[in-house]
Amino acid sequence: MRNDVTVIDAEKTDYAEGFRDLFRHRELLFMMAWRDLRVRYAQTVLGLVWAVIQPLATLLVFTLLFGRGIKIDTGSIPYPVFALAGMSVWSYFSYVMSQAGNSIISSGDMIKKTYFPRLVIPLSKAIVGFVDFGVTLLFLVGLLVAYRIAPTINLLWLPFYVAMTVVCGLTVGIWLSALTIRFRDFQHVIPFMVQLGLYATPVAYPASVIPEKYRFLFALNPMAAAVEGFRWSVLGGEPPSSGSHYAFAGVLVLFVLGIRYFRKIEFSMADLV
Amino acid sequence: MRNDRDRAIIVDGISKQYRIGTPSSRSFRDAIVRSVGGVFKGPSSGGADFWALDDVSFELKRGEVLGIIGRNGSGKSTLLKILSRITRPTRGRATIQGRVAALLEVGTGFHSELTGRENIYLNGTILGMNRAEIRSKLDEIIDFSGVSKFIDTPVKHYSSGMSVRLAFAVAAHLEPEILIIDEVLAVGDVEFQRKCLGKMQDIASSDGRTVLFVSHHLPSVKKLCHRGLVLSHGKKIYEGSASDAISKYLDYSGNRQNLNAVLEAEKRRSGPVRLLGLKICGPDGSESEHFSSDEKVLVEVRYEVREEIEDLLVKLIIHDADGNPILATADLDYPNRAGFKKKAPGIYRSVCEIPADLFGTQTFYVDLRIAKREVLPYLVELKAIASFDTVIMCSNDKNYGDMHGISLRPDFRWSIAKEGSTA
Repeated sequence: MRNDVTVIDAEKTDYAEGFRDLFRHRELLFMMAWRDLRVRYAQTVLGLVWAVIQPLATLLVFTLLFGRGIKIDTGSIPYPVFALAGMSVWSYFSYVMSQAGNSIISSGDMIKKTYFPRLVIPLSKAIVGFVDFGVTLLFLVGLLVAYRIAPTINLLWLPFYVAMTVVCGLTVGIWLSALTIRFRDFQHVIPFMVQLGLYATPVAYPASVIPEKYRFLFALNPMAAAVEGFRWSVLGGEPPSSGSHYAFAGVLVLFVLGIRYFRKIEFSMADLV
Repeated sequence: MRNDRDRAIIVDGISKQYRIGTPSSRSFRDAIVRSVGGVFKGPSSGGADFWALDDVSFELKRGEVLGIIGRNGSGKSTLLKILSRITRPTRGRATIQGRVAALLEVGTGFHSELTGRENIYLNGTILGMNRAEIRSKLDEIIDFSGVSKFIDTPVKHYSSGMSVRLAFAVAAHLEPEILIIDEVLAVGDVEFQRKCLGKMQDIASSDGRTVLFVSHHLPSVKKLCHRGLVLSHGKKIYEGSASDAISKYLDYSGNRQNLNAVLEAEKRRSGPVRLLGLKICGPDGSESEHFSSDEKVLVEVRYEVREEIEDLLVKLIIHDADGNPILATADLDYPNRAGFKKKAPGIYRSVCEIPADLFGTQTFYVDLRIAKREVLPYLVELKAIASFDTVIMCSNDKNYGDMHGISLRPDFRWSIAKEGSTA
């Protein structure tokens, strides 16, 4: 006999059981991601081509505006490669943050009618985001070949910076999704963060254009470290500042706290949605 | 823990509180104001508390089928939501042993852009099946749903009946040890309902399956359940055999006190129509609950129409003490069959005259529905809102013996003729 025991208790939240339950629902995680992808381009003529057009258009605007117009100095690295490398991680982050942030509210019907670990919903967005991220990476490889830029040993660090980007996106997304359900105010914070974040993160410009005395502010933005680090691992150049370790450590702490907070209000979500 | 082995569900003092009135801290500013204000004012800050469930306890043995009955708002759905872990109790504790599947609404998570086949996988996964399980049952599910021709068409092109059938088909092929179901039988056409009921019976009677079943449909509760539990205003008022529970429920809800509570609640109803009163009267117009079979019974429904409405129907469904519906009647409001008359705002009274010499010796329960013809949902729907009993009168020449347990004993016209002499 299988030993499935469910305990429903008004007072206690069993965190370990929560993670076992999440593991049991791993197929649902991929199913939700698959549904999002399947639905996203349903009834569009161009379908997946949209996943290509969007980064291409942004890249074009950046290149014309900052590369040709304002002429930002990116050292030996051609501007389009520089911008695309930054954009790929930033777009992934902003996608996961905004989609995960809104995910609980927009799944209200499911939450009110069925049980499953609610964490599956924001987590699935991190998987969906990888599709667009993959498309942008292919682009980047194409540009590297076109500009004949060879990767260096730094490339070994790439998985680390990608992982940090996933954690950053999920941290903000999970906090926002849990907070939005209690305080609708946070719904309005999301577009604001996407927009402001793009300027506060060295996506279109290198961190070196920031005056030395304001650099410490950058250390507060973990995505600045992730973007710089990602770019460094692909293109070489200046390594990310030592402050980035603190930013990442801070994110990991917030990530754990976010999951704890999410789990704490998980069982009231059906009443609040 | 050892003696809990044969108990699948143990519910111990479950209560659930909701706050009505001011919605709980939906805005961040409120929360800040409240927490700051709390320092000065103490915790109470408006909004009434309401106990949707109040200290409910029961146990269910492995393999038992328990029916939960009670009128709308009695806490049935809240109980199922707590046991299926959708929401958390305010107090109390429950232990469930075995793999649980809860079916509170068919078709949860159906996505209209996806095809029927894709939705089977999606819905099945949400309900807790894994992919291998779904794949092995796919043909069976498609076959049961009866929509195999359209299985690769997006669900948005389905009629509502089709998607409901597909959804039920997925749910019916779950194989949990413990199944929690809410009212899913009330779906689809009559034939599909019968198919669902059959499937439900298979599920309920299959070896060792423990089922918790919530329904308004009393005959199916009686048919499927071993035991019954009656909830009223969040409290357990009865637990026992299914048929005893049904009669307790009907006794409880058919009485005067309950009608008054319903009418009180009706005062707060928004919408185009609300009920003002319901009376059961004898031929002289005086209110009564006891009739002899040779008296006619008048059912008077008073209601307020608050905005102009077309095709309004007042419907009565009369059922016996087991909950079997035995007759339905409506105030088909047409002098000319061409169309229903419009009703201008105002107070109306519809009186139904049930002829004498129709009922046998029985207690009858009346359901009331007020609806726009062929439009769902009903504007007013009240189950077992009133009751009356009739006794066959033996004094006159209509007596042909008491047919015990027969609900209808109408005075039909017979003709008797002698056709010839003996052969």
